[in-house]
Amino acid sequence: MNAAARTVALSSYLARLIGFGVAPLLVLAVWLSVNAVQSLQASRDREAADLAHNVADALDQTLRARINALNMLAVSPLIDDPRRWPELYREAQGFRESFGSHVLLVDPGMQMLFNTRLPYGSVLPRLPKSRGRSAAPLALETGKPAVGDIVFGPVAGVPLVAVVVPALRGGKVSYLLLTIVETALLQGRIDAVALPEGWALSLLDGAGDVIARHAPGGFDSQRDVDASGRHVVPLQQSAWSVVLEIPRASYRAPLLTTGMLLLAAIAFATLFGVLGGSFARRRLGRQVAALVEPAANAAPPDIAEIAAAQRRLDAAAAGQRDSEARFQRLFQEAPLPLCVVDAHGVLTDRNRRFMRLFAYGDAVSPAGDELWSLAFPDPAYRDSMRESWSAAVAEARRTGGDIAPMECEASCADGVARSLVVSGITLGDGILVTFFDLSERRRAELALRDAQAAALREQKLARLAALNQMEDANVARRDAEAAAAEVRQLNAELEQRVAERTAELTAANHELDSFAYAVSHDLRAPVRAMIGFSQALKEDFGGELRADALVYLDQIEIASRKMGGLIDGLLTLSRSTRGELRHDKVDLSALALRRLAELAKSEPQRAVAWQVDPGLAVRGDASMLEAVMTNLLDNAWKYSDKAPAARIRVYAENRDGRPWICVADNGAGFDMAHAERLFKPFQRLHRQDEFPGIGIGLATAQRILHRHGGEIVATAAPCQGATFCFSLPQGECKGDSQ
Amino acid sequence: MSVKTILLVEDNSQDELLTLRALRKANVANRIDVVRDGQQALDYLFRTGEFSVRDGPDLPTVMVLDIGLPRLSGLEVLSRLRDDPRTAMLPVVILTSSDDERDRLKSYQFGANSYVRKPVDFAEFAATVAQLGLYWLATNEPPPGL
Repeated sequence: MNAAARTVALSSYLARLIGFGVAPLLVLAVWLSVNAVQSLQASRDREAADLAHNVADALDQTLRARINALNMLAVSPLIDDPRRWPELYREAQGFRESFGSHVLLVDPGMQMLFNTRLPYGSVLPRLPKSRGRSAAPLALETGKPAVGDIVFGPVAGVPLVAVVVPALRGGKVSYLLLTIVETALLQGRIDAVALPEGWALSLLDGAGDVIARHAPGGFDSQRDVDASGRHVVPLQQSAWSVVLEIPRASYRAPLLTTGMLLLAAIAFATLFGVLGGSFARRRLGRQVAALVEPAANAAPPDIAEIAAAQRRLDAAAAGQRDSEARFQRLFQEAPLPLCVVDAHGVLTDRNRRFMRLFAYGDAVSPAGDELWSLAFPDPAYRDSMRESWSAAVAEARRTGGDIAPMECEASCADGVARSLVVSGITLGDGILVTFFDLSERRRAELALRDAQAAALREQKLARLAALNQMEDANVARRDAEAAAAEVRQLNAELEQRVAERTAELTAANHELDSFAYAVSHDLRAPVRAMIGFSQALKEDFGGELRADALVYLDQIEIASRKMGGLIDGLLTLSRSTRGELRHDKVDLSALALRRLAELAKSEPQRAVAWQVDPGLAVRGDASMLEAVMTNLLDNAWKYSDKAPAARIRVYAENRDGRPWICVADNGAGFDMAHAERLFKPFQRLHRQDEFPGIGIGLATAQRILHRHGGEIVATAAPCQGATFCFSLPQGECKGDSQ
Repeated sequence: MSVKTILLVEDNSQDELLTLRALRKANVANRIDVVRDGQQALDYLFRTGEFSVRDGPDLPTVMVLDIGLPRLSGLEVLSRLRDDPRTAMLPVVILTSSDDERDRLKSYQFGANSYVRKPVDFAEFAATVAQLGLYWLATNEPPPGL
């Protein structure tokens, strides 16, 4: 038995599935229906029995109440004395008023002694003998209360039942107290019971006679009621019984109705299940069938799992197509001639390279034997080749390995005889045959050898050239190293020299500084003494001196003052190069305005117009730069003294790409021929009587600017004013340029 | 009431003469003692050496001290004075022709009470000295206990 024999069609499988699903449900439904009907029946039986019991209990209570009340009379001592019977009669009247039933007193001989229906003392008959069980004899016999069967009352003239209680005296019945209940009263009780449609309720006496009955019209107990529909409950206080009867028709009808309804529901549910199952089966079957055999115009599956399966299948199919296409392209475009031969030696597939080799004149390559004879025209060679090939194929099939490569000379489609290496692999029953064109490789090998030889030659030449270059480079490097060593040596020497010179210079500067300091300090005192004593002489002895002596004293004083000025200048100059050089931001505009204001205050008689451009700022030593500005402005002020409308201007300008700060006046100016002397200490271009001064200001300014790494230049012409411009190193200068 | 005196420490006889003249011109009649170098100044103040026996009050009201002095410089004298509790609070006025910043700084560091530069101009010099004398003798209140 193989797997295929065990498969089963999806639709029949699903049909079975539906069958297996529905059948147990059907069985279950039927069972439940039967159960329901039975439980309905049981519940109705219970209801009927309960009803009958309730009625019986109620009747029992009615009887018991009467018996108890009669007992009260029976134990009364009034019974024992016949003279007091009228009192008893009155009490019996009371009973009647309570229960609506008359009371009789009867002696053991069944003679009525009184009857509340008739006045006391009336002549009364004996008790009639009842047809069935009679209450009075029974009570007389047992000494216990008794209830009798139905009798026709001789006094009342209606059907009655009697309730008898014996009055026992000394264990013997001396009298009987008897009350009679009219059946109409009992009938009323029975009628008051609410009964379901068609049911009948009867009260039977001990003889089976009907005391009261509540039944639909035309009801016949014998004819209409089965035993199962009859519920009999005996009363405790009497031999009576309550009978509840359900006629056959009434008894079966609800069972039948319920049964029919359940059956219909089952039938409907089954039908629905089968139909729904079939619908689902068809739908599932269709979609699965579409999955198995795709139809062109089939609607896409709407069951998620099937849709997913469909997508997977589609993807797999696409992948397969893609891979097949790729394989085909690989096979077709393979850079080797390839063909596939089936078990019978028939060519089933071939690629382009193969066609190029073997498509003799035709677009189609020859197949099988024809190919052999075209490729190997010499029959003997051909046979030997065929034999070797068959042997190689057989060997490969036996070992499961490749077909051993075989070299042959084949005349190809282009008429060229080629050396081919034929090999292949077995593919199931078929063979994939590959051809390798040795002639091309040989040509390539030759070309490669030539190329290699050429490359080798070139390499050799290149190496020679490279060697030469290396030689040159080595020489150059040695030269360069020697030069570098020399440079290093020179640098070291230079540094050494610079260091030495710097040290010397620093020492010289120090010496010069202390010299200048000492000189100026020590020179002050004699100068002051000369002035002081000249003045003291004039003050203390002025009156005693001749006029020319006073002139001489003045000259001593003037000379001394000049000496003092020179000393001060020298001190300023020496101080300008001493101390740390600070780098402050210096607002030259503010400095200039301040100094000009001071000058104007010191010489209020002069009218000088000045213009200072705002925002002239540089970076440098604030106090030193202040000295520079002060010197330049003081000069401008001084030398413009004789100008008709003196004017001083402070501004910035760009020259050689650098900002310069300039102080210009329209004063005396000077001859540019002597410009180089301007900045030398104590050198003056004007006579003392023209413009007083000691010639130290510009020298100081220049030294300060040089210390900052800056420079100062002057441009002037006699009587046309002078302009002094200075600049500080770039990057530290922030003068606005215009 | 103790007698107010001035101690002038001046090595330059011309300056000494001019200073004394200026003070006299300003009607300063107080006693003015003059010593001519640093060592003498210390001996005078501490009554040692050649001044171990001298008249006058223990300490002058003010000492006018030049910087450039032989033997001990003015700054050295000042520093020694300030190290000694007897003279730590003695009013000292530096009167010098030096306007060197370093001198000025040192003077104040060593506790000088005033630093006056001798003006080059004689008239100014005379006025300055007169002012100075009047201020320290008449206006200024000495520290308690001196």
